[in-house]
Amino acid sequence: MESEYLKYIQEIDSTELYNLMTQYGDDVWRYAYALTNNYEQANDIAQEVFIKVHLHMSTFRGQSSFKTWLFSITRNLAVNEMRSGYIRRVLLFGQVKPTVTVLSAESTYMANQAVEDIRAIIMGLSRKLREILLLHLEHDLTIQEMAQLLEISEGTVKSRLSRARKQVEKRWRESE
Amino acid sequence: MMDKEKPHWTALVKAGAARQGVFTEEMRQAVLTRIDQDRKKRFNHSLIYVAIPLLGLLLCLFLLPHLSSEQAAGLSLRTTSQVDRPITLHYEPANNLAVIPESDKAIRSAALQLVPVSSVHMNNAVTIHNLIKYVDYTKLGDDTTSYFGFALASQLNSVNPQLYEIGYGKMSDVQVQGSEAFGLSNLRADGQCGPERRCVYWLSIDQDKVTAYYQMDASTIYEPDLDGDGVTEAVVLTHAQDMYIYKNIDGEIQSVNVQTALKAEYGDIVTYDPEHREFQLTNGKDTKRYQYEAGADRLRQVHEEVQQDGQ
Repeated sequence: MESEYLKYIQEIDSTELYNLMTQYGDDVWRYAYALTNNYEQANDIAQEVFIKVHLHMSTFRGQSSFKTWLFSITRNLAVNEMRSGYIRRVLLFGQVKPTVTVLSAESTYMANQAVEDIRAIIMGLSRKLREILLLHLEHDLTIQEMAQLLEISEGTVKSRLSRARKQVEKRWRESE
Repeated sequence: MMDKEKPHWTALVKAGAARQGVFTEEMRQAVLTRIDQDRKKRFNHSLIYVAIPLLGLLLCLFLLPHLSSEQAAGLSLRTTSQVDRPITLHYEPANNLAVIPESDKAIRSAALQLVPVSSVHMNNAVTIHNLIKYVDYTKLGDDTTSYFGFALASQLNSVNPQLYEIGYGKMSDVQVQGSEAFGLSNLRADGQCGPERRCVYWLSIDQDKVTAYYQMDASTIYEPDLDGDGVTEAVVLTHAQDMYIYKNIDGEIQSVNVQTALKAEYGDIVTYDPEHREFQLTNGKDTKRYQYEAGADRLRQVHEEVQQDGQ
């Protein structure tokens, strides 16, 4: 609710943008990372999101929470980036190569081994499942907000969330 | 049982998320630097916009005294700042038709099926920019119909080579480039598909699914992000000089005719300037320029120039 005033703002100056980056930057980065599973792409996308925010602040009218609006920009940019990335990989290498730097990149901010383990399990889920799980656990989005962001029904959100939980719990048990 | 030995995993996820910032100070500064650079660029551009009309005005002031009274009576140039109300764009979905008529300009989609190369006889195969290989072919057997499609290099080099079938017919002068249109596309292929017709196929290539979004008359295509939401739209000029904007609305690509939206009349010319993302309506002596409003499906007039008979 602290961002309620943002819907009345036409333009934001550098100081305000800096404050927004401080407040939401980590959330945006984590969501970009949940989508791309790629450290460098998440860095690029997160910065691009705030450049878009600066350019198009006047288009935020409070139809959703500011965080959900930020996430919808993040999602659009990430999906575009992944599509172009996928076609580059297919055409240059003939097959999609998995990203192998995930754990080492993650470990820069996750010291605890258990946290790393569970993180690796989640990032091993399909994009749809890990996205919904992390939106719920890391970002505390409601079912309604997730449905709005992902443009799917609330029933589908619940179903994906349930499947994601079950898969993580199964792999978590197996990992011992 | 396991829960007693390990902390609950949901708590670990939350703990991991809160542990350390990942959007670093360096990234924040990089954003501010880029915005500052963009602002300077825009300022320089706006200087150009101011300088050029000013120069023109000075030139007119210099030349007008030298014109005869007849010449002066025939021409006066006026640039107005009066603007019309924003024009709301009413996007429409594609009609649900069994047979697509000549006049239908909608973008439709089709999931492409894989066809084994061993089941066809290739008549023409063109590799384009090392991106994809265009092929037209007939199927083995009595069917003499020409079909066409494309294949990625990896598919043709596999043990059982396959290609994606688009449909019957063929294309020539095929051009392929990367595309992010509608937030759905990876590649755009366009080429001649009839005597005076150019077809365009936006190809969405996912790991297990390839979808073609196609429009059957597209002489000129631009892919700008008109409304600034990070997803590109398409501006298409057809062979019949109709201009359409195509936009992904809730997963469906819908269209609006720009001439209709701007209420262009017979003889009026509608053009699109990709550099400034402006639509221009000219009716001989009156030129209006419009830009898409960020975040809204509306065209806002940004300039009007009237050349009228003087007294």
